[in-house]
Amino acid sequence: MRRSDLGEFEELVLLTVAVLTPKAYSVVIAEDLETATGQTVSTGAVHAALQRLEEKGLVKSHLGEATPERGGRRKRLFAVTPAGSHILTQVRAVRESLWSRILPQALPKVDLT
Amino acid sequence: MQANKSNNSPELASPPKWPGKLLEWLCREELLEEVQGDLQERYYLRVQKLGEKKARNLYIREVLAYMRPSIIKRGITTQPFNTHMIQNYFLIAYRNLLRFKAYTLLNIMGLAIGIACSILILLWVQNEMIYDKFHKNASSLYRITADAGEMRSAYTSPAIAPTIQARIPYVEKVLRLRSTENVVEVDGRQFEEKNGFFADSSFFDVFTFPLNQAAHVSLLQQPDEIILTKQLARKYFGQENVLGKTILLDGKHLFKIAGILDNIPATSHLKFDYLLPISFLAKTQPEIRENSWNAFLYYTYLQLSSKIEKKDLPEVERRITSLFEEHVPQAKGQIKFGVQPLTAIHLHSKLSNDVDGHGNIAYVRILSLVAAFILLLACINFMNLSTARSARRAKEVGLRKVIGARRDQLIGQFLGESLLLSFMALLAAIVILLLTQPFTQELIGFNVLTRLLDKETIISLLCITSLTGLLSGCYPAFYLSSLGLQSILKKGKTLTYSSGLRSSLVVIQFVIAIGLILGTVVVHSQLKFIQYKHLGFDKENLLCIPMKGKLWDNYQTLRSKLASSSITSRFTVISDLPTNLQSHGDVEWEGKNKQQIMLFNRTSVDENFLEVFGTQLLSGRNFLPATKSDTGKVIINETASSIMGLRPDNAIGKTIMSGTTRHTIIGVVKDFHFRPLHQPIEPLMLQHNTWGGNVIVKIKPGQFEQTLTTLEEMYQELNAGYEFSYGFIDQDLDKLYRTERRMASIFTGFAILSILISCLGLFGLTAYVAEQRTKEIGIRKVLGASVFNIVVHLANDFLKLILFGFVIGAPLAAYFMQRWLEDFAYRIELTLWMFALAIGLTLLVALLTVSFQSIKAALANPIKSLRNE
Repeated sequence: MRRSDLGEFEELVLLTVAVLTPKAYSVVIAEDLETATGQTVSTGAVHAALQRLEEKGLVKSHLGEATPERGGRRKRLFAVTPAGSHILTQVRAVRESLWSRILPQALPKVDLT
Repeated sequence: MQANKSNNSPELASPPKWPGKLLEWLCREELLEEVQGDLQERYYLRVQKLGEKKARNLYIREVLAYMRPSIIKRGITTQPFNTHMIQNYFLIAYRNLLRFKAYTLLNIMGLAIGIACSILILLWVQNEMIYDKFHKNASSLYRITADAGEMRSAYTSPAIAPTIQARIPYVEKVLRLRSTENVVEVDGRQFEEKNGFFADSSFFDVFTFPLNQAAHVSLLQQPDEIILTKQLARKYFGQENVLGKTILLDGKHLFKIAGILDNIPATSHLKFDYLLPISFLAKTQPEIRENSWNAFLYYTYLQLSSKIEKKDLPEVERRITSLFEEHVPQAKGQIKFGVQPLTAIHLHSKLSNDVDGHGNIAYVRILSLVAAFILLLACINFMNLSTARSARRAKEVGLRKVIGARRDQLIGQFLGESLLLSFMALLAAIVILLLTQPFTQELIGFNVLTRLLDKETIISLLCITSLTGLLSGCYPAFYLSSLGLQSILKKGKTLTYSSGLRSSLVVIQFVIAIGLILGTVVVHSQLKFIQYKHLGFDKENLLCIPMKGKLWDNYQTLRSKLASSSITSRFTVISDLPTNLQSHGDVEWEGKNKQQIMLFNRTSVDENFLEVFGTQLLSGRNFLPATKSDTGKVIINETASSIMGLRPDNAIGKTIMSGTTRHTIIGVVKDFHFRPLHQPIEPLMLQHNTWGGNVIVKIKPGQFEQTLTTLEEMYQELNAGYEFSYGFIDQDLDKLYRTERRMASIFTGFAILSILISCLGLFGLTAYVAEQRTKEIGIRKVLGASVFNIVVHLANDFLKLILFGFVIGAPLAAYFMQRWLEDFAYRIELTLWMFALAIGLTLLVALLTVSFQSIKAALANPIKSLRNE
């Protein structure tokens, strides 16, 4: 795994896909990320990230049902592939390993209210 | 999925439409659906969460943010360069050119002629406009002119220059020039030189005439030094390294060669072969020694500070005038001085006493217009013919569309073909220029082809050609590509195109052609008028021999010899040739209005003048032969006497003063023209010549050879060692109209060309129309029409157009021609027959063209044309 394999935003999107599976598509992913991060997330950015993830083989997609809100247009649903799962686990392992090695007094106190 | 999802969106407000359209236009097909759906769904969610306004804003921003490369359709951006299609285009273009050889040839020829003409004219115009720009200081150099009421002269007096340099701060340098003619003797051989100048030592500071060799710095200060051009050095010595050699001027003065100039550029208004220092004149001429204010014989040039702009010039003029009046108070209010920029001299001077060879801005403008018109003509032709021809390619267009050609591809193809043709025409134009080079060199004065190699010229040529190609190909390209498939693939194999456009184009062509023909007719008539107008004196058969060398000393002997031989007994001696009279201000008479400034022309003639030149004495008497008693007596012309407020009979005995000399009027001569017919007759004063000048001999009919031989003998007897040279008065006079004659030939040339081009176009069009109407012609023949009837039918339409063109073109041309004629003080009137001639000629040529094709069509076998029915 190289650092360029998964961008920060892509990682977030990939995780959200996993969260929202099997109903993960651009709009709900974007809305979810907006709520989670508190910042505006544009549909286009999410869409672009999903395209890149699909090119890298980390997600796969299929066209789902149409709804009236979409003017009768179908939506594209995404799901994480084994490769995607593998990379997520790896990244998580690295992070957790680092977190576990931080001494209590190393980080300044943060009030997370 | 809930059934009432549609009710969730509160007002059922759709997102704004235009971003959706943008997406449809640009987004890839396969992604369009999901992207649009996502955006719309998000919009509704936001309407609920944030309200409609915010939702709309965010919607628009998101749509714009979607514009990234991976989203954009393939094909909107440049495709990889597909050479196969281009190859096909070339192949088709080539085949089409061959298939319609006649059309192609006509097309290219017409356009090539148009381009060649435009190139010629544009190069000439460019040449005229860059006169005198080669001087380093050109933008701050000016020349002083003297305006006295109606007369404007390039001459100024010598005292002006040093005074204004001393008194006016922004006059940085001054330069005086005086033209001179001398006889130069080199190693015993004599040469007559007519193109010299006396110049101040500031000459090389003010002007940038490159010196090939110089003996030292600060030339033109020593009074015994002379500067020659390379050409002159070669003429005298056969080589150019001649510094230090001496030559003899006018048999009396030795000069040392102190500098050799490179040949004077053709684009200089000053053309000379040698330069002498003014300091030499100081020794011999009183006006320099005494710093005269009255001797108007010098050209004065100034270099002003670079801070002076065009708007400051009136102020400069005012100061010069007031300085002059300070020193010459009696001239107050009579002479105003003008300052003309150096670069404006060539085209904008209409001054008397000026150097020769000026152009005329009016001609530059006219010719530029003519160039534009001819190019326009050629383009119109091109457009007409192309469209007519390409109407036959409807099937090809149809097929291409079926296979999948887009409109822009078709447009590109046809524009490309048009460009190809126009570049071929450019090549043909260059070939034409190559072939006509000797002829055009004569006309324009320089080699067109060498100018063509200029970088700027090449670029402008390519631009003109591309523009022509694109413009001309525009209509056919757009028209053809817009054809609907159905109309093409249906029965009819050819199409018509808007006959309105076609007709109006033909009309425009003929407006131009008729205008040019009319112009030519008028110009030629005016020229003929000038040539044959009686000038008030008999200019025919007058042989002119300038006196030189020892003839001056042997003057009386010369006169008796001439008188004694019957061949030469009709002779006269005058000091200035009629084409070269000097004018002189400062003329006073009793009762003269002091405010009025009057420049009188003045020359001296002997007692035979009136008879030999055939002028008529209206009152008083002629000079008496060889008496001193006629010094101080003058003969004036009619104009002079009426200016003085006198009638010919009571002018006798009155006094007229020039400068400080008093003259008594002894006779009044009928007016005759001594200036080009552009100008009205000016007042003239004739004094009695007893010393010589130019010997004019009237050649008796049929005795030309003998007269020449006799004169040459006499000349050699009295003036051995000098070259016998002579001229003819009528030839000299004709030279004055050289510009006009050139104009006439140019106009004729262009008139012919424009008719040619228009008829080429007409030819093609007639063919096209005839083809369109083959069935109609077939039926008419069957019903019994004769060839003549059919020709008349076909020709009818075109004739109407031509007449229409005449109705428009004739008044326009008449207006412009009248303006041109007003330039001449003596001119013809525009008469009806000129118009008749113009329209007659045009109709004749057009008829011939049209009938040729019509007859061909009319002779076709009706069986063939009706077979397909």
